[in-house]
Amino acid sequence: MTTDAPILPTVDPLLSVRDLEVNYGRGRQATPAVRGVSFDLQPGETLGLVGESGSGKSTIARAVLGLTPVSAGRVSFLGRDLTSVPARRRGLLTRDLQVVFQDPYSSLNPTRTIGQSLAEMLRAGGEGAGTALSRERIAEMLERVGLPADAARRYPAAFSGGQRQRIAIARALMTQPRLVVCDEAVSALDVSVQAQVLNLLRELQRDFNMAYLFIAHDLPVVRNVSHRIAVIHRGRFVEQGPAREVYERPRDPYTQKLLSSVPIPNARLQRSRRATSPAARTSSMPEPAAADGAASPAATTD
Amino acid sequence: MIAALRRPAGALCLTYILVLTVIAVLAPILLPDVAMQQAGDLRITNAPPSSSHPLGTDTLGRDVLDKLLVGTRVTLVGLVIAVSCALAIGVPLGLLAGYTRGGVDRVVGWIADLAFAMPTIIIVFVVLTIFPHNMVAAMITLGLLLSPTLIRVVRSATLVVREELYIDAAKAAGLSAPYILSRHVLPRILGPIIVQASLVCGVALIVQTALAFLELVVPNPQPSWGGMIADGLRVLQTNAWLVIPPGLTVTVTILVFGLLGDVIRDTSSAAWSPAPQLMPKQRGDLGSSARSTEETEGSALLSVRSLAVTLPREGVPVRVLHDVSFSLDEGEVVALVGESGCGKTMTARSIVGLLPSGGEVTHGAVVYRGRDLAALSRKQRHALRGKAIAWVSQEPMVSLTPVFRVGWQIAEGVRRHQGTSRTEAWRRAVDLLGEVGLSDPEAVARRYPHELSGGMAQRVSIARALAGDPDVLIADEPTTALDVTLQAEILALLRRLQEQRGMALLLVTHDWGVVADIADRVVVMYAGEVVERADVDDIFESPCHPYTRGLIASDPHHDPDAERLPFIRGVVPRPEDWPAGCHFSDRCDFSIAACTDRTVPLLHLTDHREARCIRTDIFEEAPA
Repeated sequence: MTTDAPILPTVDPLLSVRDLEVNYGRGRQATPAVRGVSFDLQPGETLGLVGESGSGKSTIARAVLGLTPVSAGRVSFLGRDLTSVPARRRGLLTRDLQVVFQDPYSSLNPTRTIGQSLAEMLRAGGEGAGTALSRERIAEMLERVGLPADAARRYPAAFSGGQRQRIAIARALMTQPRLVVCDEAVSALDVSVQAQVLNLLRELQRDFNMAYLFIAHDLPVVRNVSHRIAVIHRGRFVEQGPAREVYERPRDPYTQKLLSSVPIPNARLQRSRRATSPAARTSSMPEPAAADGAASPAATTD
Repeated sequence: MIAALRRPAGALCLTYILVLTVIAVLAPILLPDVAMQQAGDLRITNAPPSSSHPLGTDTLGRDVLDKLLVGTRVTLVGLVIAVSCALAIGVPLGLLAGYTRGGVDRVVGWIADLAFAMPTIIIVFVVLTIFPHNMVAAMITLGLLLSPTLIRVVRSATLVVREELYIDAAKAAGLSAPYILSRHVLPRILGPIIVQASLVCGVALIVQTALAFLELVVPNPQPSWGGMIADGLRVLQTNAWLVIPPGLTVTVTILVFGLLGDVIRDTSSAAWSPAPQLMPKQRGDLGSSARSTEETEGSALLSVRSLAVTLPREGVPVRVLHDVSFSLDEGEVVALVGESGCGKTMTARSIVGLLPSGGEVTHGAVVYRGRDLAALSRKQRHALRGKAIAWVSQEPMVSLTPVFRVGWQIAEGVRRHQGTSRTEAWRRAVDLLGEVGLSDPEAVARRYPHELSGGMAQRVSIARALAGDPDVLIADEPTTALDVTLQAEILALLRRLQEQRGMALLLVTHDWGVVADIADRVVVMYAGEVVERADVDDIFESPCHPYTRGLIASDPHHDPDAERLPFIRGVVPRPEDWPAGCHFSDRCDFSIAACTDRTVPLLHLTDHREARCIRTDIFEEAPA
């Protein structure tokens, strides 16, 4: 009622990555793992990052999380440049930025109870840990991800892979983050359990309006959870766009090859695709001895 | 510590040390005269043990027991100083070096190496000449000189732990380095620290006793264990008894430290280690249903007939496979599908006779060209392996020996099976590398395994499997560790090899896409049993077993837009927890009372179709 001038809704992105470069090694031996990657992530949105091993997708995750030094470019989160924030001041920012890793067997400290692992997130977020309130929140969170409340007293060894991944998700959500980086978060799980965890991730996103940076090598999985997909190859984005578009009408030849390499879980459809698709037929050609994964500079990073 | 008390050895050791500590504190207070006693009752010198002097008296008539008790304090104090000094320096420096690596690690490494190179006892002597009779200085020096071993142990343990993902997770959560080190790293490496500390205790005790023996740290007449041994040695010819009480005490104390270290190490991880499994329930009814699924096709190249396998868990055999039956015809591709823990790899391993140690086939048979493989001698079986039935594993890198060129590893197989000359075998190996689609096979043959990429390594391991010209190739998750583009190439390669050589292929996988791409027939396994057998088209279009249906449906490939993916509730039970009757009953939406009443056999439905389910009729109307 105060103004007629239409103001464009300029929603600031939650995460903004500009011309990100990450090198491994120093000086002349430096090998680029990520080269000039830029993307934005809006609140409540999921960006799927797909690529093969050594493509640099996990390096992007580590750079966003501050676990690897950035060689050039900006990573801004909630308007602040993370690359210039000193490590000890990151603590406050990381309340809003959490991570779920791939390996449910190594991402939880076996010597700490589930309750302790969850409580320390509150501590890192600057809140009191060990209080009655925190215990209540832990119990609530465990229940929310589908685990019994008495899980807090037990050690990781008492849980299956799928349950541990639920615990890792509960741990990430303790501080009610705005962005969760899922680095191959469902890759190590069996298919039926993977479906359970994917459903849980989607439900939680709806309930808490979180954004996900969802990193995986499995295209159908990424397609299922993502709003947008970015395809990464040898450290560069080759394609970025709405999930359906990238999945159904891939423009880049590499994306096309990636998609046609995923076999369709239906024998008749797969047979007919194999008969028509050139990608499936050429793939039986001999491969050059040198140009295979090992030669790729970032082969050791993922 | 408390957990260590529950073990008899731990309780005994802790009690011993507690008693020693109490003695160290109380004895000098309760026996104030002994410390400075120059001589005792000179009428009864060198007396043997008696009721008034339980351990006898020494050369000056002093009571040996009193001296031993009073001498405990100085011995223990010296020990505690040395050990705390070693721990206080070794643990933080080791943690720091292992956690930060880089420059700090290098500097700490140099210091540790330098300290290692120093002659410990001589340095202690030098210190004692500067500070005569100063035990504190001597023991601090000793602690310093013993700390490098702790630094090394702590550093290498930390190096391993710092790579764990939970450390990354803690860092990403913004937790400080001291917090991560004290709460995440330290508890994890407590075991090796405790063991090393107990060794340091032993060494410190020996050095303290030696110094006291030389009367360098404890001035006469103050009693100490080492001093008492020295006294005893002087009169060894006339009274041999005197060295025994202090000597025995020192020996027993060192042994106790070692033993206690081991017990505490074992028990300190007990809280978080996987709980020992309870006695498994053994069910008598499991073996009985074998007859219902006897293979009828006698012509099959390879048939697995109602196979049952047990593996030892905590010393008790637990059944991990039950009534597994299927067959493989010549030139046929059969996929063995299931989730982890369902027994598909175990089945494949039983065929080639590569069960984990203690694994035993308790029922059924594996029949190859009419011969029961289990009935063969070790030698006959060995001859068949690789030649008739070859094996490709999931981890190509691990399956290749790192120290030999890959060409020789293949040639070795060629020579074993075909008995050719070395050069002929090498030529054949190069041919095989060409056959598996590697360009420039000559160059690849001369490489070592670490010089191969993942895709190449899998091709090489396939080439090695082909060395014996097998009829059956068993591939255990051959593409699981590979990227999708490489997976497509390896699947295409397997298909081509299988067609060209007319080889039968048994492919173990959990990936329905792989099944659809390559298989002719499918065998689905769940919780140690075959639950469904069908042709590949049928399995996708009308799966009959609820598990097969659930597993196929939960693949996100079918409906990428699905807001909610279909899933199977719960998890695959461990073999100890298999439900009675149908193993899937507790996760099945269609389960009725009859499902859990008795073991469900594999039921014949139509041609080439069988399912281990009594409720398949409900799916007949509704195709998947």
